[in-house]
Amino acid sequence: MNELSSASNEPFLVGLARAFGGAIVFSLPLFMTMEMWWLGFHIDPLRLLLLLLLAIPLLVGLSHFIGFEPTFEWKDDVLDAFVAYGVGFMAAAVVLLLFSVITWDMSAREIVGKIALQAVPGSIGALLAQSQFGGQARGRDQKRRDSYAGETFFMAAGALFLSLNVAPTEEMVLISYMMTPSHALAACVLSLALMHVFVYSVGFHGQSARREGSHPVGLFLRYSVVGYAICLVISFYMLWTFGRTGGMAIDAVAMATVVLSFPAALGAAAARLIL
Amino acid sequence: MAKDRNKRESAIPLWEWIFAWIGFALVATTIGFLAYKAATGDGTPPDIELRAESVVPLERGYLVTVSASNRGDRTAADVKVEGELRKGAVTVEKSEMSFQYVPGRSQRTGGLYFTHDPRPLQLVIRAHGYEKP
Repeated sequence: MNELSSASNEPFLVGLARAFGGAIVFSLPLFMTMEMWWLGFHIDPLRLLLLLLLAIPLLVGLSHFIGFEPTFEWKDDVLDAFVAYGVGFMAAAVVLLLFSVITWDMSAREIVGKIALQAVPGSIGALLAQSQFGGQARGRDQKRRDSYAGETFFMAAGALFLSLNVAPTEEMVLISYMMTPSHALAACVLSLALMHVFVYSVGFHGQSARREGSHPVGLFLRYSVVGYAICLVISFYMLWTFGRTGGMAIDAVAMATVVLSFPAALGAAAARLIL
Repeated sequence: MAKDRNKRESAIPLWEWIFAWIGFALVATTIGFLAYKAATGDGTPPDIELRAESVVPLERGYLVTVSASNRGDRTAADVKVEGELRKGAVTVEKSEMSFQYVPGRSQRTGGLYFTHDPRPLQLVIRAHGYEKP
């Protein structure tokens, strides 16, 4: 191996192997979802492009809190983000080739679309792998997470993480067709309630006493309501990206958004557990 | 690269730079490709060209393998295909199948079953219609 930097390369290569594992483990449900394959060729190229661009700040942010290694400056975070992105691309290409979802006689647009779409969840999995499969030096991360910006970012990442697995499926719209407006209202209330319960019971686990003393209403507004609003925005964005909003009435879009916000809310609330 | 920072004695490993640049290249190429496609590509409607590839005698009847090539840019979903065996002006047998998706500029293959041997007869295959995905 390289003489110059073999000493510092080894931990990185171990991290890289973990990242590949993470990319495959975390996005296997999506690798095996047929709507994801179909979206690969019929997704609006501009919406896919926007998704790929938005994933960059998300990955940099995730890397800032958890990453291949404890990071110290933004350059490292950006570097980690692109390593994760590359791993996401490669993992997607390998798995989709393995499943014969991509074959050589397909058009470039189809192959690129399928891989690029799967690379986004794959890269998130690659970055999260470090926190899931072990890794140390968590004390520093914990401090970073503690800021309000860190908390909301983690809620957004958690919402995205859980809802991304179901967002491309036909069922999101189908469920909204079966629900009545009162069902949707109940889903809203339940999502919000579950978020709040999680913020209390899980969110405080091992946290500073500072917020334990804060006012319950303030806590509800600052975390649960804001968190749910983030879930609604993310859910709508994903439905729009996956072409589920086209030609639909505003109330139908709202219902589907609420449906997808349910897993999003659970993901946001449990972000501390799962991320 | 080797400058000392925040109690971190080692520089960023070479492999990390390599993989980060690979990742960057993949993302940048994909984004460029998609931007190019968005600017030029998705214009023409689905244009399905059907071809009978081969005739395979089976235990019961015959299989005609069919390829559908979409010469347009946009994807066609649920493409209904009908095959007709003719003897002059007389229709001997009809058969049908559908392709779930035929993406733009791509090819999909399938097959039509017949009870009569298509080889001495005239085979006409045509697409009935499609759904926008």
